[in-house]
Amino acid sequence: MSDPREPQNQEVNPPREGVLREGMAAILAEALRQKGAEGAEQIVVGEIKSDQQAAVIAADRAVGNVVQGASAEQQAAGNEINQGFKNQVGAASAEAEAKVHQATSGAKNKGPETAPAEAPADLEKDRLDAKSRIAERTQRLHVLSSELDAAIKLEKNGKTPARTSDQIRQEGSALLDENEKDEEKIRGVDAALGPKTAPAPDARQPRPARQASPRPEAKPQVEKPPQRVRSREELSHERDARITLGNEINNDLQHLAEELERAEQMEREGKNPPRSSQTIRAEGQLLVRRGRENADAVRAINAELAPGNDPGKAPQAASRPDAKPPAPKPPEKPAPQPQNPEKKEIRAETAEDMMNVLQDLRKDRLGDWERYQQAENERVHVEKVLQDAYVNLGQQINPEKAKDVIRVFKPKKEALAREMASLEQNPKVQERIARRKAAKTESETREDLANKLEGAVKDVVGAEIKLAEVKKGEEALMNEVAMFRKQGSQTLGWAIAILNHDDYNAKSTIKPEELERNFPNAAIIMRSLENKRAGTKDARKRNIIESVLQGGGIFQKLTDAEASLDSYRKKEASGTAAAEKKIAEAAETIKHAVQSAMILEYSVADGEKEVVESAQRLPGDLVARLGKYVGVDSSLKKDDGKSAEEAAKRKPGYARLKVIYDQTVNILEGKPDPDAEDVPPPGGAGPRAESNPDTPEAAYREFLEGSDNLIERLRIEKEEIGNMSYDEKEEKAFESIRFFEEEVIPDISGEWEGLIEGVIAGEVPDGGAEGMNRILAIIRGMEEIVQELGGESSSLERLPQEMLARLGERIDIDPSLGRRERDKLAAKAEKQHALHGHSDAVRLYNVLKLEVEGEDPSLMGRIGRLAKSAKSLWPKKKGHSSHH
Amino acid sequence: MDDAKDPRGKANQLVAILEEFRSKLRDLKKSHWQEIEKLNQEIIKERLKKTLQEIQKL
Repeated sequence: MSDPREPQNQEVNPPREGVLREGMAAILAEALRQKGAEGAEQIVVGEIKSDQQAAVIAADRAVGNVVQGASAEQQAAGNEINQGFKNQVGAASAEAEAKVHQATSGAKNKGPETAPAEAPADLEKDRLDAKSRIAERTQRLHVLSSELDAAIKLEKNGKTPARTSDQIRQEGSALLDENEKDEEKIRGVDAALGPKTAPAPDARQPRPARQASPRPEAKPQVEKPPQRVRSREELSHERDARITLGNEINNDLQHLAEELERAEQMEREGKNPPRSSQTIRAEGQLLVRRGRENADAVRAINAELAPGNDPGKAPQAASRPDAKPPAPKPPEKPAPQPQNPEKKEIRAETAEDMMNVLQDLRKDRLGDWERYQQAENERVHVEKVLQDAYVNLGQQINPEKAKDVIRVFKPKKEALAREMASLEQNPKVQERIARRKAAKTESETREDLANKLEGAVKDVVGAEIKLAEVKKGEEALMNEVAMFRKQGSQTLGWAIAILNHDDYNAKSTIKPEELERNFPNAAIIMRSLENKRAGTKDARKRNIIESVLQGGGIFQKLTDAEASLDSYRKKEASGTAAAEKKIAEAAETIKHAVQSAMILEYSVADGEKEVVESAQRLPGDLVARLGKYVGVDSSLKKDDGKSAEEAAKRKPGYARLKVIYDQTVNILEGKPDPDAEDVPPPGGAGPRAESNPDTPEAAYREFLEGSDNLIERLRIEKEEIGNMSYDEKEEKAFESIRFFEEEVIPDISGEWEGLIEGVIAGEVPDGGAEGMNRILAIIRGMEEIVQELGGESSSLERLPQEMLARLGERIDIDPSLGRRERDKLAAKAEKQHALHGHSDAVRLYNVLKLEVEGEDPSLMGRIGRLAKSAKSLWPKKKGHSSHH
Repeated sequence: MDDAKDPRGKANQLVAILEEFRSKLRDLKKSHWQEIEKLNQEIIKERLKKTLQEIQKL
């Protein structure tokens, strides 16, 4: 057997482990000497039980915290995890107990060197053990109650819980039965110990028969060792170990006191704390019991070490009122901590006692901290007074008085600093200071982040309003242009007829809608008419052209309106770009705020439990605040009978905010966000990733930029065509179509393919949404040019179909099938989750399919109409433009 | 062996059993915590998903 004193787990807490091991060995050796193997077995088994109990309580607490407010299924899952843990711990505990039993059974028969008569302390221990078991079962019953609720809910919903409600009830019932037996036992012991309640001692007591004697006092007395006198060194060693243990127990109790305080407060407010005050008190009682036993043992040692027993050595303190010892002074080395368990007479027979003990501890604990806070406040005041006095002295306002003040307050400041330094020695005060500091930093950072988020969201809204205004202004001018066109439709119709057909007698040979669609620019028509007039020798025809040109001044009005619109568009382009930029920046800020918030969670959190709690809390807050702007606000539920989303959609910037919101949720869900490569993942502060131009994200960004350039080129092309004469356009039409077919279409087809690959591989940040928008914008750009030219658009009609077929291929749908068949397959595949991992591609496919099928008439519908009108306008050119 | 005569040896043996148990308990606690943490992550995800669904339902 290896020497148990040898440290086995240095990295955990080596000094403490060593001391505890030594101390425990000393305690057990002494127990073996005094009470034999059975006494030692009881101690070790007690330790095992106690650890088991503490682990179970901690497990319940941990799961309770996590599943608070979760669904019934999740609560059931939590309970199941706990049950599994408890079973494992129970098994480990049973195994250890068996080993202990085996190790001691050989020695049991021999018994202690001097078999002691069973002391009242033994019976008292039985009683406490029984109470401890009752508390343990009560705790378990508490857990079972939640489990039962969850199981009943599940059963009501037709689901099968991990354990049925009947099974849970059975366990509960068995526990209650056991409790009754223990209560009976307690009554028996009470009777044996004194005239308290029941008459006769319980025959089931496992201890050997003993002479019932009146209980000397409620608190158990540890018998002095009857025969063997331990060496001073051994006693001192054990005492140190016990003092360390006592301090640990006290620390735990102080934490419990804090938790109890919070739980009581919550219960007063009608809320459900993670653990009820009753449960906390039960745990406290167990701890108090251990503390009391430990304190008793220390007292016994102190008595042994007392001057009368061991003259010439330093006396030890005992807090019992009758002991009246001199001031505590450890004999060889100072106690590990200023507190020691014998300081307080710890007893907790009832929950009320437990409360009192905890309150006393709380007072002690707060004593130093409160003094520290007072000193701190006072120091602020003193510093202010001194500061004023120095200013007074510097400015010679009333130097004598200032000197007096300094004389009095300077020592006071120093005294306060000394007092604070002294109080800071108390670990509890240190802990409080650290906690306060962390809380302050955390709350400032949280507030800062939340403000940033809100500011960014407001920026988005502001920029969207600006964009809406621009759009509104543009619409007003467009309406003006349309109005003049309508007013002058007859005049314009004459002009077109004259220009197209040399029909000088026509009243109006062109329909208003055709005019609307094909009338490119008033200035061009006017110039063409002027040219025509100049080239016409026939005076009558010249007069007709002149009268058309003069017709109500409509050309001039229209030209002016169109010029205003053009100028407005140019002027607002920069404003729009600025607003767009602002929005993009705000989106970035929001994203970083959320990510920083998550990092903050993991960096400030002190311990695993806090990580869990705060990770649930803060991003939730941020998302809620952001959600408010995208229509999650419950106040939007009713708005003129419309749904909240419809109401939210009317708010400026809804669509954009929704995208940001979705991205935020993705970030929180841990989905890959290629834009966030410079932010470490939550929970790990890994090195920041360098931006790699070869990454799919970078390629995607490059593609977006390239598309923007192409869109801009198409826009310029369209503008140029808009200013061309009829003849110029005719020539330009072939050039443009060549440009489309040779450059634009192959280019975007290639990009399209890359985009789909990126979507399927999950490498595209937004599921390809932006990329698809760009491609559609390019198609629309081409469409608008075709519109300007009035030419054919068959290649454009074909393009999305080809794209769709390629996309269909990518998502494992046979392109040789008809569309209906492919759609059926796609739907089926989606249903069966056969396309797992391809969901983004499927979504993209479906969106584009809608476009192609003309559900959005903005694209294909218009192209179709254009093709028809172009054919009617250019019958002789039919077929030339789409092939080369 | 006479434990009464060698209480220190027996005590060391018992301490070793206790420590072995505590070590096992530490391992169990660790894996228990990992399971809870996993459940916790699921709960967080679930909550976020629900929020998202709420919005999409509106």
